[in-house]
Amino acid sequence: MEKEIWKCRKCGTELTEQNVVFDYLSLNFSEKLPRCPKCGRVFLPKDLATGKMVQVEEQLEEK
Amino acid sequence: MKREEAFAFTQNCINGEPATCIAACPFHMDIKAFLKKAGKGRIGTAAQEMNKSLPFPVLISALCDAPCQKACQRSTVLEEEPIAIRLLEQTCANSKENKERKTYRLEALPQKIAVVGAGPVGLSFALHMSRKRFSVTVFDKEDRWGGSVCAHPDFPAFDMEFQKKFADTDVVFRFGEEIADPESLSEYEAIFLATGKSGSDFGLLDGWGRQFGTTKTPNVFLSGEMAGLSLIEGMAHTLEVAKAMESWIQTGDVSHAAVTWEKTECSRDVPHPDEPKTEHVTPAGKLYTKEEAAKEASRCMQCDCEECMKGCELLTKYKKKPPRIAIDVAQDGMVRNSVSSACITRQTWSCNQCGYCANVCDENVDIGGLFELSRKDRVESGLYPPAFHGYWMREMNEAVSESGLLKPAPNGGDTQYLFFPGCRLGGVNPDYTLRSYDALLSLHQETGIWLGCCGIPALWAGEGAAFEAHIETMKQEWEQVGKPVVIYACASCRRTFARFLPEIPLVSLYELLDQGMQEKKLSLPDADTVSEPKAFAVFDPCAATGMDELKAAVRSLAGKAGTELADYDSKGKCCGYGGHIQLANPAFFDEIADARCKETPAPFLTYCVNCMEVFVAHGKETRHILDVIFGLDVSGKAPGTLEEKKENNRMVKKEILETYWKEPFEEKKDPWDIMKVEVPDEVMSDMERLLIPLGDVKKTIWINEDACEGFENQFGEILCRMVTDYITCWVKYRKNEDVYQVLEVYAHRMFIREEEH
Repeated sequence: MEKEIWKCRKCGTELTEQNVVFDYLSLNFSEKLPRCPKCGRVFLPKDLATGKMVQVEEQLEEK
Repeated sequence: MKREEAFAFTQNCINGEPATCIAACPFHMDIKAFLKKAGKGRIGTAAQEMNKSLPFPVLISALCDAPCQKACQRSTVLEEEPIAIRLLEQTCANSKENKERKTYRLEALPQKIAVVGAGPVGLSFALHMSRKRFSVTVFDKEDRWGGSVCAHPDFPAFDMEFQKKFADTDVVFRFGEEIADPESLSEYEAIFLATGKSGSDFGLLDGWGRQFGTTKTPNVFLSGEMAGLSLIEGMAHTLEVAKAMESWIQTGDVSHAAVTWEKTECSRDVPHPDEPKTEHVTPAGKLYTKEEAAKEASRCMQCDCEECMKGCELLTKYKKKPPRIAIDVAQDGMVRNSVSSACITRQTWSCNQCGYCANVCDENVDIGGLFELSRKDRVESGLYPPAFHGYWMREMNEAVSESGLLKPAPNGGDTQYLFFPGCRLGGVNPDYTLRSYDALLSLHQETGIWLGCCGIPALWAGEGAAFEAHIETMKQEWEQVGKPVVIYACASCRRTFARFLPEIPLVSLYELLDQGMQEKKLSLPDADTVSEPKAFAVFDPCAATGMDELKAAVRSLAGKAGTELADYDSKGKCCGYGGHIQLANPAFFDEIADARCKETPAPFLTYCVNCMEVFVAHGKETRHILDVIFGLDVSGKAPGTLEEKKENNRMVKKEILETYWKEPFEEKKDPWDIMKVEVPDEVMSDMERLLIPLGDVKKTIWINEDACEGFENQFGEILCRMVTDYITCWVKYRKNEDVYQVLEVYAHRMFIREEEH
């Protein structure tokens, strides 16, 4: 299958891997994710949201 | 939260307290541990358990009158022969497997202790002090040890035991020396007198302190038969006196002696429902064989109350005992940063709040109440996951605002009754509310309508302030229509009213309908319209516990509709819906629902829409009692989506306003309502699981289309997101002319800092 190439609709630019800071329950951590180099909008695919992110959320909730 | 608030919930809990046998034992020996080991045939380790608490196990097991056996719950609760604890102790103590443990000889302390009297009490004391490494000298006027037990037929065995116990000690015995006056022992730091029943008290009994064995002479202690104790009591007392003397030597004050036994008054029996009967084992010889001992000892029930834990899936799963839960909740409340030490969050937010634990507890310990407190406390401190209850709070607000309605009796008369269907009855099926209201009006024309919510979602969410404000509003609304009797349809609403608005008189919809049919004022639908099947197991919702009239009315209605009822009792347990745990613990939510579904092969008949929805969603054929009595055909109908329920609630309000009040209802329209979307079943199922209504998906697409935001790939797929108060909702879609084909919906709870890049 052809690799998906995502562009920011607003800026028309292709996404690049950049640092993203997440906040949850007064803790924060960062992760490299695709985002628009111009406006900074972050792209979050389903496998990440339903996989690793859920695990981290659960860990933070249990602390 | 003050820690006392949490501890108050479990202060009557008897879990973890010493069993009655242990409380009755003068030495407070761990009889449960002893019997557990003996029950496995481990005679040697069982004997070690005795050696931990008893200075002379052979002697004590021969002479003690075994108050433990009188307190054995095999006898006191189940009326069987008590476990032969004393005989088991004799068996273990006299066994070859009872070996002395080798101890390291530490250097003796400089303080010298004198013990006057070498009977069992004096020897017990000498043994304790010698183990504390003091230099002990024992005096006796006789030329041997033993005192009053010398005449006992088993003395040779006692004598051997004394020898064995003192073999490895530095204790000096000075027999044949009569002490005429304790003052003659001035070279000793402290003196213990145990001169026996007829021995001299040297004038010190006057002013004797029972707790620590103290006398008016600070360095002289006494105990035993001379002080009026039995031989066994005296021996047991020496442990306390030894601690007191040590404390006095080290600090000049006996009161620092550690108190090891705080609950001597503990005599509370544990309930033993369903405990199989056992037979007492009579030994073939004088003592038990190893096999006989194992059989008799294994009759021990290891008495400890776990009644709430036995029946509750949550307490069983997390294994924490109630007193531990209280400690964790209190700790959670004290840690004021996001990292709490207690790690009880998941359990707190996984409780169904059904009240089962409190119902089965004879001591009124309410663990559900403790979790309610914990939720409130976490919300107050701002440290809680808002996503757990965010959707439910929204649903509640919609139920009281857009779908809320308060109208007096439509005929203009004084409103005597007010029908309160609850926030979900009409949402699940508008007919439930509309048909019920119609029937109620035919019974009592002076019946008003109150569409809203009892507030339980806020209570379950721990939103204390919002809940209190809601209760206050409800009180005012009820007063506004002249304080009528409230007719409830949902047992949980009833529980909320009864607990927080006790001034409101209540009656159940089902009792009124049953009465109406009894009096032939209402009729049942034709038999052929009654929904199949015809045989059911009634599932009483958890909040109906103790509501016998309600339960009877539902059964009576079912009977009138010609249904057969299977033998089944839901025992006040929750279907899984209670406490809104679905997002906090989805797997556990399914586990509970599946467990209930499997409890009977018969289809369920219930009178709570939440129970009904949960069961249907978990594949169990279930009917609401209103389906049966109104002849509603719901066979094969899947539970409505979140959006449909919202629409249903508005439709109920519209119908009632138009039918009874000839008033139009202007529905609030959002700009995205007209959007055409196609949602495949699997995506809809994800949305329902995550509690994302279709309106939110439309809104997400709409705001991004409007601002032309989000991302697009070379295949024309668009991904966009919307940040709500409690989640970020992501939608992937493709636009096909004027139809939005939804491809994926997912969400997360973390907040992405997009302003920083």
